[in-house]
Amino acid sequence: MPLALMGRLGSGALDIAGGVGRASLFLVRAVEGAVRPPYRWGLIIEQLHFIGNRSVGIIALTSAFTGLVLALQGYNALSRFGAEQLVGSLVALSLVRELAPVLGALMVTARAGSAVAATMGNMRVTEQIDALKSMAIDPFGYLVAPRVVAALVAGPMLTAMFTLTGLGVAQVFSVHVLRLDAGAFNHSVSTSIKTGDVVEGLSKALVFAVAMIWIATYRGYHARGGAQGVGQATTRAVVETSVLVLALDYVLTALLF
Amino acid sequence: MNTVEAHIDLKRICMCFGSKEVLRDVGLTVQRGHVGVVIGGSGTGKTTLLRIMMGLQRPTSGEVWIDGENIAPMPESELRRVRGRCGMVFQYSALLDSLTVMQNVALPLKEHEPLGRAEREARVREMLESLGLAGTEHQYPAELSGGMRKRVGLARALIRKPSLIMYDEPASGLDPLTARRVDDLILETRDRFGVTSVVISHSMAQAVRIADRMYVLDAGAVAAEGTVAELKAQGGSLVQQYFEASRVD
Repeated sequence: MPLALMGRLGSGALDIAGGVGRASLFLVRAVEGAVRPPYRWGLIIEQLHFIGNRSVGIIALTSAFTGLVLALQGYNALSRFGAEQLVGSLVALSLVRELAPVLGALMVTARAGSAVAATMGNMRVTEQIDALKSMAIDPFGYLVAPRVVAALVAGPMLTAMFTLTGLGVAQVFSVHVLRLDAGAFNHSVSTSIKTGDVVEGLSKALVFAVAMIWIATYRGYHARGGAQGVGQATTRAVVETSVLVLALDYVLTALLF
Repeated sequence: MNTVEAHIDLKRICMCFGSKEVLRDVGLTVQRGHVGVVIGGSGTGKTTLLRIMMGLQRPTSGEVWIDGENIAPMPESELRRVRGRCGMVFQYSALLDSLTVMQNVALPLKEHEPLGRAEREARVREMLESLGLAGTEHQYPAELSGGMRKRVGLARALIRKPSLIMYDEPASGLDPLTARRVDDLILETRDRFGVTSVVISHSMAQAVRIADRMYVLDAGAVAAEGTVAELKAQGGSLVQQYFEASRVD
């Protein structure tokens, strides 16, 4: 019995190690595909439009509500200590260092990451990836690399947009609804945010973008078994990315603290 | 060396998926400029064999010689060089569904040949016309019938004038006239350009029409091989069953 248990544990550990190894190799080949000619600018722009431009709406919407909630909760908590004038600082620091990169990454994962996994999964099960290989085209260079480059560019830009939109909405709400002084709000924002905070937020955005596109393309590329397999690959991509983003957020926060 | 005249030479190919043995000690040779037809029922390993020939799957053991090179142990980058001389027609076409017909057929040219856009498009138009697909340039695969998709897949495989083309069930899902047209095209590419073709089929009628040499696959092994005349003369219950079931004289 203990031997059987140890066998199962060992086999599980080997599976995990194998999976991590395969996924790492996949990322290396994707990076190779991105840096080695031919550079497919048209495909990169197409993916930039898909991952970046088409995520603008959902990012604007979520950042606006995040800004509203932060302003309201911040005002509620800080007014108990007579420190309402610090609402701007609270909103800005929360957004720049934490909420914009994390929520932005989760929203982009839900919208674009799932679509990338589903598209690539569909291409796998309908032999389109094999067709590329049969035409002597490297699927990593043609399919994966443009998506990786696009995610790396779009991730930090969407995070910056999340921050600015959230801050703007919070400012308007604080001034017109909570009756805070606009000058005091702006001053508390500008004095509390340091370059290091912005660097931290954007670094997180970059790391989360890599995680999102890595898992989405990996899961899609290795989808098996028709429509059901594509669905499973998509679900796994979204769930795994979401968990990884939150775990990485803790690690990065601890490192950059 | 026995690969001098052979375009494709498979030696002792075995393929296992887990504990399941799909191909067992398969050996076959297709001469340059010939049409080799691999025939067999569903689940006999025909498509797996074709994927191994194209380097899309590595055999568990054995050698796959194409143009005098064993591709079985080759890394992916080397395989791309070999595939550059080959074309493949997939059973369900495998067209890129985000691209139009023009973009699909032009893709191999765009990726590998230094042609201007106008020249590339002219070549694609000519190819589409020869396959009865004129006017479909701007349509997406989802807007085409199954037979049209198949012909677009054929156009994509032929566009770079490869010396070796592999067909996975080229006639399946086609009406008899279009199927006959595809058969004629396979023979025409052989006669005009000396192209070698490997055709996977379950249709004895098609095999009889186009095969220079046939290989009957049964339970993952080559049960019989030869020219049509040789197989007819040779008999053997499985081969006879195929001829009788297909009502081919």
